Amino acid sequence: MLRSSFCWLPGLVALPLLVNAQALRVDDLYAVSSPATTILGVQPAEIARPKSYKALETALLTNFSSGSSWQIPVNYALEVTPYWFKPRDISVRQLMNPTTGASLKQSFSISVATGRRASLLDSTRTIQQLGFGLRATLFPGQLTTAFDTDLAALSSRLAIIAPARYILEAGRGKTFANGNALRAYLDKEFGTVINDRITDKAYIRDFTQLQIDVVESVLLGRYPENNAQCQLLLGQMILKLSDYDKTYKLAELAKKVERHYYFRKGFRMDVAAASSVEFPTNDFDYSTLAKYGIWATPGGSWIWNNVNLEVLGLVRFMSNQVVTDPTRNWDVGSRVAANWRRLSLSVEYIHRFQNTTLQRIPLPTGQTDRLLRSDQDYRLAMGFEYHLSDRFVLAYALGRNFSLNTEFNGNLISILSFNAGLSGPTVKIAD
Amino acid sequence: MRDFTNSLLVDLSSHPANQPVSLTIRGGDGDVNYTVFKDFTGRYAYGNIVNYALGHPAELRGKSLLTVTLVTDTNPFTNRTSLWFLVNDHRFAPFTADADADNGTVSYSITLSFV
Repeated sequence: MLRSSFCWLPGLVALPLLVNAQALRVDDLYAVSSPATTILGVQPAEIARPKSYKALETALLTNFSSGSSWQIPVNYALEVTPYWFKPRDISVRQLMNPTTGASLKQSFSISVATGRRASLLDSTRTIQQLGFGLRATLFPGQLTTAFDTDLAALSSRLAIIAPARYILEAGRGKTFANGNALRAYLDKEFGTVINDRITDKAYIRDFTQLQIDVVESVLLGRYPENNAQCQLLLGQMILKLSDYDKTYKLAELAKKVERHYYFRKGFRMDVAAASSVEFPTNDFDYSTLAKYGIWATPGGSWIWNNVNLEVLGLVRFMSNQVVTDPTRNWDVGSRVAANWRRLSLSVEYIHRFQNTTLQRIPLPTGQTDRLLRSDQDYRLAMGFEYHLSDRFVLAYALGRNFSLNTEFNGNLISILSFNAGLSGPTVKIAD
Repeated sequence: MRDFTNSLLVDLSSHPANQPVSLTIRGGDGDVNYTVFKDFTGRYAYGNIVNYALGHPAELRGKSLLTVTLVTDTNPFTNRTSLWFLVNDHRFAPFTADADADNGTVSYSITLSFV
């Protein structure tokens, strides 16, 4: 039955391969997940990823404090990367092309998530859950050649704005008798920069255009008669220049550079660990260890016919104390995803080797013998994601979940979700 | 674009009199940066400033040097940008400023005063 139900999957996965896409980004797959949410088995609409101490403080105070006491928020997820809370003397190339040790430090994250589940004994009662997780990238993969192109594109724009900014800033420290003196200063300094790049015609064209847009447009029809009026005009020019980052779309160019942190080729591997505790009586003073696990996700990505193919493996050990008979599970599986523009399709298969503790027998020696049962189980699911915008993702997952000794009722996976990556990296849609 | 203005006092008293003072300016936190300044000979310096010879201590004392660096946030983990100054082997505490938004640019105007 199962075979016939999913026989159309290969065709669906292959569908985007037949389309001649123009652009493609691997980080379209950037998951709205963290180890803490994975261990709880929840799919939050958003994971808060504060990018400074101040933002972390705000996130904690807003969500965990209630007047003078602390509370556990419901369905909340937070992930922080402590390494970046301090300023680091690291260049863009060191960030993007780290050694294994540097990658571990830079990507190491701590995650927290909360959730609720129905009690297995009394389905009308819910139990609060709290998950903790750690994650790091052990092997980050390699930069593609497009990195140098994107970096050069951004640097070349900064190279035009920065000298103009310097000339205007330096002018603020000078005294000009009148408009003629100001013009003479600006012409001389802009001319010097142009002379320094005399062989670079494209640079001269763009720098001259900037001079027209920022300097000449302000000076046009103005005849300042003293230094104060000249300084006022210099201030206006600096304001205009500050807006030039929009003219050059610096943020878009920077986003293209940033994406190379995720958009890489070759082998990569993340490692993660997580555990969860539960509050059976919803009392903070009484908690029990629910689950713990450790896993690695080796994989790689390739671009074929403008479609990005990503293959991720999974090796995971997970202990589950939530279920009636505690289990120890070894999971081995793989996820294949194809991404084309706004659309992502994926298929996931995980095979589970499960040991269930049916009974604990105390021995006269003081040790405990366990009566174990071995089982095998699997999870098969397909996912669909459509990026409505840079941050909003509509996702649907359908499939069969693990069915032996789980805390969930039934094994049907059918989840429609609308994720907002408001605190995480945005995903630029390549249209 | 966000503006950041500050000054840096550079004490050359312990610097050997016969060795030129060299300046390095680095944008940190994995961001892209570009620096411009006009040295004491009137020549512009552009881009990555690494061990740029400014002159001997006796020539620099009492003078100030304006530097402008644009730092654009390209780090997915933080919007903070930082600017690091090294005079010879001495690294000063960085100047830091948060970009207005993801992938924003900060314009640092730092005046070095040599004493």
